Amino acid sequence: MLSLASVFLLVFGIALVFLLSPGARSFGHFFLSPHFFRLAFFGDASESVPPMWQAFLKNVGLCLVAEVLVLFWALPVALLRMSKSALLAGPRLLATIYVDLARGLPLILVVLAVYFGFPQLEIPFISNGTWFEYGLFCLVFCYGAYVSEVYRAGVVAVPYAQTLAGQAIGLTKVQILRYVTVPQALRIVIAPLINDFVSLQKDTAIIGIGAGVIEILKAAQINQGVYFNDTSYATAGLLFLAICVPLTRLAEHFQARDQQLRLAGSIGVPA
Amino acid sequence: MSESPLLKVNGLIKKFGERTVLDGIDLEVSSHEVVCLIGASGSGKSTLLRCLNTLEVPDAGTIELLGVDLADDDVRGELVRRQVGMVFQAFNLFPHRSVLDNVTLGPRRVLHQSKATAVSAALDLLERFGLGEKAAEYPDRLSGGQQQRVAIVRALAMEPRLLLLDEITSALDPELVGEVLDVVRELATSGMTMVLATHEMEFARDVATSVVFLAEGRIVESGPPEAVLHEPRDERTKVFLRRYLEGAG
Repeated sequence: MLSLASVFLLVFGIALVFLLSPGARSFGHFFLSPHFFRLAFFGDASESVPPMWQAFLKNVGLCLVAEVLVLFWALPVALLRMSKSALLAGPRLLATIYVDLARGLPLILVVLAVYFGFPQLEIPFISNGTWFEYGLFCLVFCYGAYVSEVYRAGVVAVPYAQTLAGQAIGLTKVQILRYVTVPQALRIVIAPLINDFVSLQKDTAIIGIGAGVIEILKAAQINQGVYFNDTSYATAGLLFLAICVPLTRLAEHFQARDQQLRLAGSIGVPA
Repeated sequence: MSESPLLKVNGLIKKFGERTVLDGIDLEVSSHEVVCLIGASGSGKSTLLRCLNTLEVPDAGTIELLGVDLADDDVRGELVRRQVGMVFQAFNLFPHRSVLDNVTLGPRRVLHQSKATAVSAALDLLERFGLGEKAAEYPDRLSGGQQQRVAIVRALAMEPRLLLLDEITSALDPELVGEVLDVVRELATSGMTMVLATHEMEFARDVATSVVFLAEGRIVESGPPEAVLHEPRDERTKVFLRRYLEGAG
């Protein structure tokens, strides 16, 4: 009851600030107009305004393919970074430099460099990529580094005692990985992984800066240009929220489950 | 002592960097013996147990299990570990697997038993130690004492010839120690060969066939429990036991 009142008061209070502000009317018209929302969402053939839901599909497609590639690409990077062999010192250094670069560079700079830089190189394979291929490259380049660190953290987080326990019942190294370490690392990794994917999903909008294709950002800009109304940006926001909020919830769910599991098998935690 | 010993340790040396943790250990364990290792923390008890299970590789000396030298290149760790079970201080159960799956993992993947065989054997064992109802539970739903009993069952499921117990009650709340010790007592009665590191002196006196006192990586004194615990000859053993008795109360 008290919590309900607290939520209500807060929401009501914030709404009031907006509703009572001097510019409430024009703000509502320019950013939250149902009329322009409909036009933005479904498009308007008479003005050749593209439907934003369709444009958004390009972002969704890009992020889905990028996520799969990132999952694979990050694996060798993480393994290299974790390797101890002297033989791999060279590749290990390379992997470290890559991770530093990719995590340190803002995606928007990478996008500009790739979309406007690669074609100028005039190298056959690299210089004639499609917007989709360049987009994939940018996202996988940047997020591969993050995800490789997530992998690394996941493996490190499984206590060594688990490996010992596996050895003690006679499991081989490969069996320990398969039945003991990796399943636990996966559980640990899944929540941070989803978090990175949420972030990746959002960052597909940045691809629009370089890509010559009508994805969500371009669609919103066209819309804004035609109607002189910013509701298309709010529409874009809603579309992203529709995907990202459930994903975030999912991550929280996994996180809670993982926390519970991690308490087990360790010292003295009664039920 | 007509039969050859199950386990024979000769001149075992183990170093961690500069530090010598085990400094020439000689030890023989025959079938159905219960050997209690006592000694202060850092005296080498755990390291010795780990060496016996090839979880640690000795720097010198030999360990023979059933007449087979463990240092032999043809002897793979996994093979040794089938014969030797180990239970850890912190249980080390697999938190992502149910109690039943914890117990059957080894029999199924190492001994290649069918699922039905492994499950029915596991359920029998769990039943025997009062854990029958917990088979489907996950470790986080169990008390520390129950978790440790599951860990013992997991080791027993491999039908080991030798069971190593590494301070298995040290992580437990005092009221849970009894139920775990009872399990070990029952195993001793049923003839299981065991080497255990423990701080439970009374328990050692009750179940041990011999007590080994370690200090600074060496065996200072060993023999029947009455002799070592009640009439220690070495000064270090006396000091250790006196300190322990004072501490206990």
